[in-house]
Amino acid sequence: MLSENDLFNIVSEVEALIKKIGVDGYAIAVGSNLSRQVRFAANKISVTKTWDETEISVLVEKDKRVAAFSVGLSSKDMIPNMARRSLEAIKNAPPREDYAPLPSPGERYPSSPGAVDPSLRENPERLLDIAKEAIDTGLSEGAKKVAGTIIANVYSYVLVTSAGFKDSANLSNVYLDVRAFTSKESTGHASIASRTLSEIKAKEVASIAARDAKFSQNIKSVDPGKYNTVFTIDATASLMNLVGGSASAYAVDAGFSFLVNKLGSKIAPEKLTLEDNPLLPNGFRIRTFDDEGVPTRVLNVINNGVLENYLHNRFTAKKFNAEHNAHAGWLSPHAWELVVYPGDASWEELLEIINKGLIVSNATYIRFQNYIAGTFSAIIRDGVFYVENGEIKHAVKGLRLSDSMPNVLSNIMEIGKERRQVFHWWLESDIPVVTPAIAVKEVGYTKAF
Amino acid sequence: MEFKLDEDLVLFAVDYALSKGARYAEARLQRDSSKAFIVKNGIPEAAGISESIGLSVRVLVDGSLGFASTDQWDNKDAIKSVVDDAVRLAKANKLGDEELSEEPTYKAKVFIDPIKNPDNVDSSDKILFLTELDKIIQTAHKEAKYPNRFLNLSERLTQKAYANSDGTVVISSIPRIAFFTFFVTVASNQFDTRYIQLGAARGWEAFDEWNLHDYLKEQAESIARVLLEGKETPEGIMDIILGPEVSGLSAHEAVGHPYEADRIMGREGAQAGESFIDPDMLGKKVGKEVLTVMDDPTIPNSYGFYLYDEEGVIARPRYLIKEGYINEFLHNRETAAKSGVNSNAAARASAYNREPIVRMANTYIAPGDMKFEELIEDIKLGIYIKTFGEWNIDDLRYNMRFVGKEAWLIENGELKYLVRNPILEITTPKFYESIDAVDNDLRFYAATCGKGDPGQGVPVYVGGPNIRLRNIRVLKR
Repeated sequence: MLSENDLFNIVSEVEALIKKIGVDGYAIAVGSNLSRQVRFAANKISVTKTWDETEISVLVEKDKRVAAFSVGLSSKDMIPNMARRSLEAIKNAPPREDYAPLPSPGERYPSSPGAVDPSLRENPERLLDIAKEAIDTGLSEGAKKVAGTIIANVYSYVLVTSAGFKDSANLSNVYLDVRAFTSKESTGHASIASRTLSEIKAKEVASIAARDAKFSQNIKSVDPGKYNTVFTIDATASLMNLVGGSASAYAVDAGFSFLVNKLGSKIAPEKLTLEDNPLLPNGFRIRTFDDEGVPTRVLNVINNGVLENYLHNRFTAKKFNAEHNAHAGWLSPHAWELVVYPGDASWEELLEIINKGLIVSNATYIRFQNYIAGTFSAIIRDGVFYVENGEIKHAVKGLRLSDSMPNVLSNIMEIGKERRQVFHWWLESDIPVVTPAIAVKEVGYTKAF
Repeated sequence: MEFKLDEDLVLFAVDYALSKGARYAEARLQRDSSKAFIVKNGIPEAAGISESIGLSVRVLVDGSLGFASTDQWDNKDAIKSVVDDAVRLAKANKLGDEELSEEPTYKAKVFIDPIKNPDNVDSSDKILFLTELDKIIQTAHKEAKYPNRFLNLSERLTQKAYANSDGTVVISSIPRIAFFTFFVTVASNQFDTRYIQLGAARGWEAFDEWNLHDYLKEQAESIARVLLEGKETPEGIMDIILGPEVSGLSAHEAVGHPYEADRIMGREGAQAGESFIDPDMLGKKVGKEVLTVMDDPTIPNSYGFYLYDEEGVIARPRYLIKEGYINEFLHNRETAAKSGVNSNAAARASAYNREPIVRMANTYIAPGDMKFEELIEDIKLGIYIKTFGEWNIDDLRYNMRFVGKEAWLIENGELKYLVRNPILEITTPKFYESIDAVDNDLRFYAATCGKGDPGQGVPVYVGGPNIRLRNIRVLKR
């Protein structure tokens, strides 16, 4: 992995090359990462992995036309040629109607709330210890099989734009994801994500996964239909990923979103406020500037139930006649880290509120039938429990979540008070989420024939 | 250093890994050169070019597998550094008992030359082509509007040099071309969405065959017709015909994935999941004689094409279900060793920096001799699901669901009228035992199959003929 100084030197070198080509505007980003992963399954380590990579990304503009290219560090010499090919590719395209120039740097930038955890770089053997601790804990707590992943990333990033922005970001993050089995169909899952290794509590995570796998042994079928439902923290994180992905103005413009034409509308009860926050002290994806050099800030996506903002870069802001709100990714806007405001309800109170219904611990494989209507189904797993009089009676098998996102959001009954940061590989939109559990009334479920 | 498609660097990495204590080592130098063009709502957006070159190594040390990669492929010190890291972490495990199956060794070259090299087609013409296609969707049906349209054209050349410590060396160069579109249709104050993906391991000539002008018009029209003419789906038990787009997806999701031996053995337990299939189910009858499901990487120009896998094993067609019986699982050398068989070359990696794991290539239900008309002629009441929207399947690959996009009511052997969003939600064993006939209209569809952590999307074909299932429960959405 290269040092921040090395990255600044590379950026300067590339900037000099691009200036010679003759473009109207440019952005150059160099990112370098050192990542290590330990995967475990069937109670043993399956494989260890290391990645050491540096990528150079360049965006060039000419006459309101935009092209982008990327190369690995070893292909740096190809940059002038790729810049020319990129410009050639767009020279006869019409100018972009949504073109807006790269923004001038902001007057003030937030300071980064978190430093890189050096232990993630220097002590990869610790990841093996954590994986083994997760396996041992899961087995000692009653699981028959334990599987999971721990992955640690250290990342440096330098961005320069022709509008005068130049700065760096340094980030570290790590997550542990554990799935425990007492049989093929009786499973439990838990995960934890953090900026620092010291926050990764293998015993706690593995214990939750093993507990749910054990609870799932008493598993029965129930009828399909509507059930009041408590979505656990992990399941709520999956649903909020759909909201975050759909709030990108790019998704709205392309029609990939159930939030089309909903801006300013009440889409959930007042108790739901969802913000995008790249400045959380223990955030998984801390950033103080976006990929167009705009200072980031905390932004409400949903405020007291009202869809308050789409997420914009310069192009979508122009097209939607909206304010640039610092969500530029390299080509399209995206959320940084979603945060659901906590409610007042304890876990027990959430179960009391639904009275009779289901607990859903994990929602995966979410697919839309109609992106605009938001009709979807999802596989539910790793602890689906039937609740009566606020008490868990037994685990449930064979149901599929089948509803629409507008229904799920508008039917939120209560929001839990305990929150956790969630990030793992199966999140649909790859957005880290800090969320509590939620209770939702009359959620639809179907069942296979 | 200029990129050279030869074995020098991978042999260096393998030799160095052996010198550091690896019992087995393999290295892959891979270059992916790609271009993409996007037109959204009629407006050409950014064109993108990418050069991804890197080298990965995988080592077996004291029974543990270590994988590492670097994009500083031309720097021998960087290569040594990642080899050291792979060996260091594998050694630190101390609990490994992995083996790899013994396989024949090869020295081979696989080069697919496009008939029309995409580099020789002017970029302006590609953008113009996309804007023409956009217009075709936009004007597909006079009573419908298509307010949101996203079109993406991408081309990729993948070049690899692979070597392992057994003595295999494979050099390959394979071009791929792909097209994706997503659009929203509005008619009668209602809306619906549809996406379409096409792909092949060939050059620009693929577009001559795909005839996208007609195909996209037909697809966009069909969604408008469903909105304008579609009636409520009747619910109940009836016969179902699934079109090739749906039968192909079922082959991929409900045969291909559960027959991946790494899932069966639990290696994907924390992620994609395990499988309802047990190792001792080999030879079990799961369908009627008409049911044969294959996975074949060797189909020329197919999206999932390869002739040697990422462990240097020569590819061949795999009969997963043969005439109704489970015939074989998909293996790499790791799962083959555990099963006491040879690998059938299912190890794939999506990029230089991804571990080779068990994957499908081109999975399909084999066609029969019947015609479509013969499939439906004795159906009194049924549903023909021609295309799908929503689908998913649980992590054991036991409980699946497909929701129709273009679907028709069948009455007394004839297609009567369009119906909306019929749901087929069924267990995998029930699905396959219910197939009693397949027609001769085998078609393939491109898809990107996701698996692994970090995720690996690999190009595949899914395919099949029209298939008939008897006495199936249909629901409406």
